[in-house]
Amino acid sequence: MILDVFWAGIEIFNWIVLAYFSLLNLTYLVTTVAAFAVIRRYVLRLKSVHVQDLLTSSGAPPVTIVAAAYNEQAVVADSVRSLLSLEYPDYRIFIVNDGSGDGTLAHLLEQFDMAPVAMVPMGSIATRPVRGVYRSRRHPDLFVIDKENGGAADARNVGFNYARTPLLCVIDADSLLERDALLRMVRPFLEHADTVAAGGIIRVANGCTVRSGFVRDVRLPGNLLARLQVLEYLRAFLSARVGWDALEANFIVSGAFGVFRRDAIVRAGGYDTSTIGEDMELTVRLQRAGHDSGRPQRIEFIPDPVCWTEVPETLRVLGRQRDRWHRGLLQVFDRHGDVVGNPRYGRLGMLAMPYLYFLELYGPLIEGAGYIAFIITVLFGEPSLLYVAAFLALALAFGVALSVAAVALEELIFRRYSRFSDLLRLLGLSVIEAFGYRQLNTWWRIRGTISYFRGIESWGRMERKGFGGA
Amino acid sequence: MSGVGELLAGLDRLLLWIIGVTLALFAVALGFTLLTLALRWRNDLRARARRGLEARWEPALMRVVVADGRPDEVHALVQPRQRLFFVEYLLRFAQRVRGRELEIVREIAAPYLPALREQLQSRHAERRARALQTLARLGPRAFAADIAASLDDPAPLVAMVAARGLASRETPEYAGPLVRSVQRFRHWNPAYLASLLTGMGVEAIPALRQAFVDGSLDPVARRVAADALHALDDIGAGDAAAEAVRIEQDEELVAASLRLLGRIGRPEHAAVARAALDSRSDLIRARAAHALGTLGGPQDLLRLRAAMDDEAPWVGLAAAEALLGGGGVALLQDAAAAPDGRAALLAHEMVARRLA
Repeated sequence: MILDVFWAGIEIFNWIVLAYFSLLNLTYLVTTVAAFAVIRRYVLRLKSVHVQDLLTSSGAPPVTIVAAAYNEQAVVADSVRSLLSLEYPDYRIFIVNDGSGDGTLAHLLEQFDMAPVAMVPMGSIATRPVRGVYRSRRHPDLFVIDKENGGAADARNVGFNYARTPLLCVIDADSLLERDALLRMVRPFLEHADTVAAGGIIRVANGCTVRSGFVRDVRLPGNLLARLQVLEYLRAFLSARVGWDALEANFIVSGAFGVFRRDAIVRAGGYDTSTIGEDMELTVRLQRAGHDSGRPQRIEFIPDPVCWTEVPETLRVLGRQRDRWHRGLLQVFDRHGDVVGNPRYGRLGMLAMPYLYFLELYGPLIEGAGYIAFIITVLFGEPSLLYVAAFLALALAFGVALSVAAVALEELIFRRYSRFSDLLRLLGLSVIEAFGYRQLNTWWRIRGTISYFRGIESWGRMERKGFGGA
Repeated sequence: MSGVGELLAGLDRLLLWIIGVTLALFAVALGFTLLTLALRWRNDLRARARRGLEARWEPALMRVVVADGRPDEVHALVQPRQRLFFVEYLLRFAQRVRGRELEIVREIAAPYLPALREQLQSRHAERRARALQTLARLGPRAFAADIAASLDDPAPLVAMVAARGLASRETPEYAGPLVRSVQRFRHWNPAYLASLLTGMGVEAIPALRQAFVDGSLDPVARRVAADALHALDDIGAGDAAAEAVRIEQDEELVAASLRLLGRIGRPEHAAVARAALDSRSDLIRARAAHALGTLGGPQDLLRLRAAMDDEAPWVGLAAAEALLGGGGVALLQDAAAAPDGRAALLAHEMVARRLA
């Protein structure tokens, strides 16, 4: 009797997993199809707008680039040099040293000939104390703000307080922007005065050749884990973010590369320093503020401005990163759970947040439990082998189709991976990732859920090799 | 065959559905794979062909542009089916040159442009916009009427490309329609629109002034006109700006008028700025402080010093900058001597700026 109930429960659960799986992949399919429609049009549109025209235009709004640096002595000077060479008519750079324990500050002061300067913050976002502001004698638009350690969000908030330009660009101090990335990022702010934030694409720099702070030769990394992340990033940005943007339901502007309207971000109180998912939390807060005030604000994702970043190459570091991302997602719902299914918040409330809540937040738990139920069924039950094989093939087919579609999008428009061998490898990875990588990701996210409920709030250290550029 | 049929007949509906979807998805994946490979093959071929054509055209083009070659020499190298690509190539080249060289490129492009004009009737807004952009760069005068007509295009993208095409010193006769069309671009960034209009040069000033004082226009359009007049240093707009500060209600329009006044106003306009310093709007008070720095006299220095303590930091900053530029350094030094407070910090910043 008990056994019968058990098997009935397993069967019901298998059906739940099937429903979850179908819904999740259907959502991915919808955003991918939307992405195809949008990107094709977007590229045609770009052909009629010569972005370089902005360079000569006095109408290009001044931008302050805010880069938080914590123990980045090895890479920060290269990143700053790259930032100093951007193509943009009017911008300032604020490197916010977040109480680094290494020689980041001394290195910056020495490399860029910096001297203390008096500067009054215009914003009043609460932050950890600022110890000093420095300005470069050689590059008058380069500033370093030294502050007590408080985390990346707190460091960015300091930058927001000191900025005096209408637009703010947030990047990680260890990332590299393409030369015209800023120029491309401000376009939505020119075309729509109600734009409050815009995000660009993050690409994987591992394996690429970097010289003078810029990516010169784009190649796939040699490390398999990094390669799999290339495919993952293509899917996440070209299919998912473009798709959600097409549905007008953007829910994240990455802290690694985003441009914001200063007044909106200061009014919102900047990043929430008590969460590790601060970029998504801020995006959702900005969206909410717009809806609450009766004037929904525009948040866009633009696929062509590129920021290159280094991704983890070991399972340990990658696992920590994914664990942290998932804890961040849980924290967002801690603060904005009431948006889920709330028509007051338009598509954010009715589409994006329910998707995140039901499919991304609790999805890993369902998926993980599904794997266990599946194994129990196979080992101890009387499964139809045909069903088992069909279900596994379906899962594989969905994954392969979505990944190959992302590679096709890349080839249709951007073609960054110019070597034919890299293209073939990307296509091959679409199959390989289904065996192990996907399951690992599920495990890391389950671990993130457990960490969250255990109250663990650490970021975990990202070990970087550096770009190795000359 | 009958074996497969029997097998399928024996399966239940769910399983059939799963198998069907799986096969469809694999077919989609295969389709995308083939599409990706075909795209790579086609793009590589196309890039090679283009490089070959450009390598043939470039020497002849350079002879015409920098030496004394004739356009016919280049035309002779362009096959009929290569015409559109040749125009694209010329457009890219034209974006890198100015003055006489640009005129020569336009002369070379002239025979091919009428064909492009037909694309202005395309169903696709992006194609119309692209054709318009090409015509505006390579034939701005010959096709000015077509470009102006596109200001009324139903697609905002096309209308904006038309506006950008007309906003140059080469077509001053279209200043009026262009300034009036700004109403249509209300959702664009006003500073960008103003810079666009500034591209027409001083010829646009009469139309801009007219728009600035026209109460029937949207305040955004009037603000854009004020900003363009500011960029063009229109010294004749002072009275209109002072009047706008006195009577207008729109915060952004008043602020733009104060900015204009600060740039081109005369001392008699200082009273307007003084009154605006008491506004409830932070933006207006900040602009008023700035304007008072250039229009006011010694009697306004203490007023500006008081504004440094304004609750809004932007007003304090504008007042401090006004003191720095308006002969109030002694007051700033006094303020800097205070032990703490934002005004003291601002004064420090200004004094350091002066020393730098």
